Amino acid sequence: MTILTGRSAIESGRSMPPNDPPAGVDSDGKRLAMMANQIALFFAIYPTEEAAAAVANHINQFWGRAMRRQFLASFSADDPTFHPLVARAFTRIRPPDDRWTVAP
Amino acid sequence: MTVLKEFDTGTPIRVAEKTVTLAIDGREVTVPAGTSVMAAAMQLGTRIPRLCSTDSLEPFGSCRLCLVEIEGRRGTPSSCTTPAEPGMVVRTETDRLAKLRRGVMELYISDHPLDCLTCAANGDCELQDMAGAVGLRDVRYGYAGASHLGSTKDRSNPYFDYDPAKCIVCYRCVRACEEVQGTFALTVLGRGFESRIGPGGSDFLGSECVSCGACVQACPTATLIEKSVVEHGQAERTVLTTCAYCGVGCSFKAELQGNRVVRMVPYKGGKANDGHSCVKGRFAWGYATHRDRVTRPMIRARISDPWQEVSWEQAIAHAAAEFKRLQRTYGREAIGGITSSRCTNEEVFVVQKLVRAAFRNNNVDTCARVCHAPTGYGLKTTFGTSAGTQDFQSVEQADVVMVIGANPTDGHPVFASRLKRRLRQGARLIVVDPRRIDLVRGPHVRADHHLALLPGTNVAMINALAHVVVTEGLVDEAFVRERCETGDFELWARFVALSENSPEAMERFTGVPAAEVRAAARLYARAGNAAIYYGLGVTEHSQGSTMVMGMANLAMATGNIGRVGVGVNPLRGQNNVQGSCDMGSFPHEYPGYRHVSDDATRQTFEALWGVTLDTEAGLRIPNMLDEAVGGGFKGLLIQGEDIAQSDPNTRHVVAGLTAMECVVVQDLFLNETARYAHIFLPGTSFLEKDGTFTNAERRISRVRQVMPPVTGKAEWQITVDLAQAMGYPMAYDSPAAIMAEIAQLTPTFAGVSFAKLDELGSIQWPCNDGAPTGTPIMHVDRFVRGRGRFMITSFVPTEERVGPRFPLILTTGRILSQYNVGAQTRRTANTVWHPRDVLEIHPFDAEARGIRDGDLVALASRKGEIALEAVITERMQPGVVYTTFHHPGTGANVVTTEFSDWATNCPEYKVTAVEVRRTNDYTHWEVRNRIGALDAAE
Repeated sequence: MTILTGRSAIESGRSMPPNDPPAGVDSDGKRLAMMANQIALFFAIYPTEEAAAAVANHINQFWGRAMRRQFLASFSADDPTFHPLVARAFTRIRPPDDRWTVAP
Repeated sequence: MTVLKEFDTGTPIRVAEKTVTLAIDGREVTVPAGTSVMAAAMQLGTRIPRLCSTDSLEPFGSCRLCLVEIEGRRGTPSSCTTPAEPGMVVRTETDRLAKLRRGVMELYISDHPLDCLTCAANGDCELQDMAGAVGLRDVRYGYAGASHLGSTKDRSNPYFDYDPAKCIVCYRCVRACEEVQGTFALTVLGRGFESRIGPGGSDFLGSECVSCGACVQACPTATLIEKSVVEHGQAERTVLTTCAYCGVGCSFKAELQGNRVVRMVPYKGGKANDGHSCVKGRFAWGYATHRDRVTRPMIRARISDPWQEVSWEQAIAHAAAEFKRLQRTYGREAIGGITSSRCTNEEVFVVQKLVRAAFRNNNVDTCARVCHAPTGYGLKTTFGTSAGTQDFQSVEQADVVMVIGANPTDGHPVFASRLKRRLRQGARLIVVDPRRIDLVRGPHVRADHHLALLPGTNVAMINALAHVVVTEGLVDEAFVRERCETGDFELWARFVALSENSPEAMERFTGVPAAEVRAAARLYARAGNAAIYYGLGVTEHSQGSTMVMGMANLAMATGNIGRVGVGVNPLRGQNNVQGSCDMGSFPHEYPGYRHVSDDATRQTFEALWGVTLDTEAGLRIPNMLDEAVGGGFKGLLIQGEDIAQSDPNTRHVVAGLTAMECVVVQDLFLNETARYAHIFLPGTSFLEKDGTFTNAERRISRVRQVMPPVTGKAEWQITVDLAQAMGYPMAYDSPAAIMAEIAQLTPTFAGVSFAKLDELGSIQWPCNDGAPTGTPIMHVDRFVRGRGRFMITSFVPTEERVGPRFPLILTTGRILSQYNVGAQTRRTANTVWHPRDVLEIHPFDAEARGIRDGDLVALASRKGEIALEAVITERMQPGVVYTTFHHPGTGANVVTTEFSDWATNCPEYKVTAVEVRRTNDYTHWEVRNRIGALDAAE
């Protein structure tokens, strides 16, 4: 396997948004994109397939439906702001099951 | 129950494999070698008269009351300083001894006020007791000679008085300050007749005294005594309970007259604190009866309306109707809840159950989101469970202690005292912290290495330390081979061995000389027993979870896991933050840290709760706020949490809260968040609670009700009523019944019950069939996940960058006398030590900006600006400034950002790019905040 060091891992994520979005506004999902890129930077050191699966798994395990819904609606896999691993993981992110959103 | 008087053996019972048998007054007794004759006699129930001895202190031998006769020895040695020896024959009561003791007592009493009837210690005075015990009937010397009776009292401390006239110079206070607390603030001034106790030449308030209360507790007379006892008199009953401040979870005796607390005294049998305390737990409990307490429920239609008091029934019905309306209108996921780490396990459990079973979603989170969520993620990933590995007592066998991103003397003072005691015994210390915290150099404590890294470079540092371990052959290969995933280890070892991770390469990030890092790594790896203790300086970073895993890697690589004296130990912030996490407060986990998507686990809950549960993770606090601003999240129940003051980027928090249609705040006081609430449900202080807290060492302790709830309703009952009103009945008749359900559903709590807690005093989870009395040390033979897993921890610098506009790094934290948002401590006399938040700045940075000590300065970041007073100090390193967030008027979190940990969204409080400049006035935000105007509400 190719081991990326901290520096090269950072450099591979250079396309991340330089700053967080304006306070309280994430209508375009940029904050979610930044979070996804952060996750990718952690797993980037691992082999690509393993890392992509780990990124998707992390998002599926820890992001609520609303977050995944907005993320999937706001971006496509080839979004230029994505870390390559996010792009690779994108199609493995589970779409939310909207049946559960109906009031109990 | 009457006042609980603890058994005092006079001197400590030693721990030793060898025992000795001796005869005392004709009866044989066997004790561990090294135990004193006095303590051995106590094992037989023989209390030898004494004044300078108490078993929390080493024997001193000054009072000359505890004299005994020993066959074959000349004279009358003091029993406190004479070790028991095999075959020793001791007599504790003879005519000669009685005469000697009476003579000694005569001398004491000849210079002591004879005001017993009006003395505050009347009924709780050892001098009085000893006068009776030795049969003192007369004082031959009279009272006309020189005396100390006219000495001036020192009443400067807000919590206790010092009356030299009553001092017998037994040194117990001085020794308690040294041996128990480790501050060395007290000394004996003068010699002979002129001897008097002094706090370093000034009064108590102006001294180094940290008001832990150890001296007051040790004092055998009324020389050092609580002002509350002076005012109210002696207590009539005791209730054993647990402190509600930090994660140490000290056990306390609440001493009462009726329902009025007279004083709180640390309980010697409490395993978290062994009878010690800090200024907060010991003295700062007056907030519980503060006039600001809200005791009636209140509602209002808009946050700009005045509050209206209503009955509990009206408030509960209104909250339920609003939540149901919001779900009907905006969908099931439009509402959620936040549990409180200041509440009991039982209170937290029912709130998360309310969210999951009555709201029917998983939108529940807790304040651990903003503190130790990375601990949960990191330790679960590497070790298999989301908790620290040791008990506090373990540090007493550590040879090297590495404190990373924690300031125990301020944040966890009772643990700090235990740690300092070990350091005074010779353990070595490594401090990894941007600031020169007190542990770096204190009385009889000095860090071998202070790695004063730049904020935000923790992972660079841990990788550099690991690099040294791996490349210099310091890995415990047998431990790794037998206990860990070897494939993961090999990948990790190859990674950290790269030259890019060497201390020399990382020096440009951390700012710490490579040689110092190498020396620290060698010290840790070769220690024998090396222990890591860490705090929010680790977790509150964009790489918080990565750093937790990095520390776990280092501990595993050096074999420092799974026995006493080692481990990876989070010093958790709030009293029950461990418990609130254990109880399933995270949106992705049920109680016991099991993911909501795990079918078997979920079905267990569904079967008992009688509902179908959501299979997917809910929203975290920051995500709830984002969704609120986006219009999709409309209602929030906030149990004992002040997110408007504690969470980062206050403007964003306020924007989220004001975007909601129903915010319910359940708290003691109308806190900052309550400004944006529509319903206020009054909560209960720890003195009114019945339940359990779980501290940082996984220790579950009982919180017993000291007084009835002033609100008329227990907090668990509020939640049960709300669930009922939402259409989901919960059938509990007591907190014990809630714990029974927790035990039924949570394997690590399976053996826990109130009855067992009452029997054992406290229990460290896991407690189940495999460990019926609990688990002090985890991962002893195997990791919870089976084999320990090394994770590769690339260093990724934070996106929050300094630059020309914001050239300094702000890091935030806490101080000793205040607690988190200050809602409690600001309503006590603790404000005398910290009346306002200040900005600590290095002299170089201050001089470059023309700032003088005490100047009002503007602190500006990309998020906002506040003004506060500057304190120039070399505790800071150049380029780094520091403040606290205890006072809402300061609004420290106006300037912090939403950058957060990649895995958990724990905010990066520790790194904010800022600029500081002199200013003449408070900022627009602060002025507006201070007058209570809410632009968001306009």
